[in-house]
Amino acid sequence: MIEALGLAGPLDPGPVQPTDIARNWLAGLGTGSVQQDHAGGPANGAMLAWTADRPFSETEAELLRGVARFAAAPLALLAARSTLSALLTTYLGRRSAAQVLAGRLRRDPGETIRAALLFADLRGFTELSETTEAKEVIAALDAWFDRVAGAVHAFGGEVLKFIGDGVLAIFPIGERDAAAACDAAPARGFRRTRRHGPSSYRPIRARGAAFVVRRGAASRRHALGQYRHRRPAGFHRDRPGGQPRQPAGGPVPAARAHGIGLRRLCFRNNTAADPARPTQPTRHCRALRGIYAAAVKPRRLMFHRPDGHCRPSCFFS
Amino acid sequence: MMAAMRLPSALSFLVDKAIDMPDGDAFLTALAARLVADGVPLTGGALTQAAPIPSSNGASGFGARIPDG
Repeated sequence: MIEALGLAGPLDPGPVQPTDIARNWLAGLGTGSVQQDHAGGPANGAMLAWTADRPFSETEAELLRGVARFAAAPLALLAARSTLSALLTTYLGRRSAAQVLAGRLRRDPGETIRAALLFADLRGFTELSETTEAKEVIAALDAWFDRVAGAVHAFGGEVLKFIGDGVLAIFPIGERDAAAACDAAPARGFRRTRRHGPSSYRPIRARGAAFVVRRGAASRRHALGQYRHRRPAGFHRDRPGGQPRQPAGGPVPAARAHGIGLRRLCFRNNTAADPARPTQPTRHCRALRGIYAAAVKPRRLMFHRPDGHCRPSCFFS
Repeated sequence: MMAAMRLPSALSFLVDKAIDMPDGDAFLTALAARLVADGVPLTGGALTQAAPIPSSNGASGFGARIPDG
C-alpha cells in the first residue's frame, strides 16, 4: 500500500524551494538521510528523492541514480503532456481542451451546450490601472484570476475567457430543462426564484455554441459583445446610487426591476467611503455565495481603498 | 538473435511502461512499487517537477509514503 499525496509549492517563492519541501518531508519519514537525483540534469527541473528505514547501500544508491537517468525521458514526456493539457484547459476551457486533446482539431459547426453563465470583473479597474504601477496591476490581476477561476472550477464550472479584468465562465447544465436544472442542482447552486418564468431564458449563439442565458446587465452585455445579442425589454443597469434605471415608459414592475430571470449578485464594498450608500441586496444563490467567499471577498479586502474604488463585482446569469 | 537485456524491474518499467502513466502521481507510485520489489527498503519518495499551470510560478510535486518498505 503506497500512499501518494501532492506536495504544494510555496505560494510566495522565496528561500524555500520545492525540492526543499520534498526533502524535509522525506527526512521525517525515514532515518533522516534523503537521496536526491536530478532526472535529466538540473535544467530539466525534475527531481526524484528517496528515503529508507536505513541508509542506502552503495548498490541501492547506484540503482536510484540509474532510475533518475532512465526516468528523464518519460518524465519529460509526462511534463510536456501535462503542460499541454494545462495550457489548453486554461485558455480553451476544460471541455474544449479535452476535445482538442482527443484529436478534434477540424473546424466544424461546433456543438450546442446549455449552461448558466458567469461574468465577473473588477469594478473601477480602469481607474486602478491608470493610477497604479503596471507591475502591481499585473500582480493584482493574477491574484484575482487565481481566486475566481479556482472558485469556478471548484463549483463545476469552467472558464471560457479572460477579458481584460473580466472572467467569463459557464456551468453546463446538460440536457435538462434550464429552469428544472437550476431548481434541481443545488450542488451547483443554481436556484431560481418562482417569479422567474421560463421565458426569461434566452438563447445566445456564439461561434456555434449556444448558451442559455438570462437577461443581463450592462457588464454581462459588454462581456457578450461579440455575440449576437438582442437587448431585452426592461434592460436596466445600475446607477451610481444603486437604484435601477427607470425606462422612459415609467416605473418598471418589481420583477423586471430586478432583471427578469437574471440571477445577479452585485457585491458592494460595505466599507466604501460613503457609508450611506446602500448595499446592493444579494440573492440566494449558493454557488455565488461560495464563489464570493472563495474569490471575491478576499479580493475585496485586498482591493479596498479609501476612495472605495475597484470593488469586485460578480454578474451571474 | 540478441538475448533480452535483463534490467531491474524499476528500470524496465521506466523503459517500457512509464510513458503510459497518466500523471506524475501514478508514475511515482508505480516506480516506488518496482523499487520495493527490487529490494530497496524505501519508506518514501518524492517527485518535484516544474509546474505546468500558467497561473502558478512555482513547482508541483508528489510524494509517496511506503509504510511497508
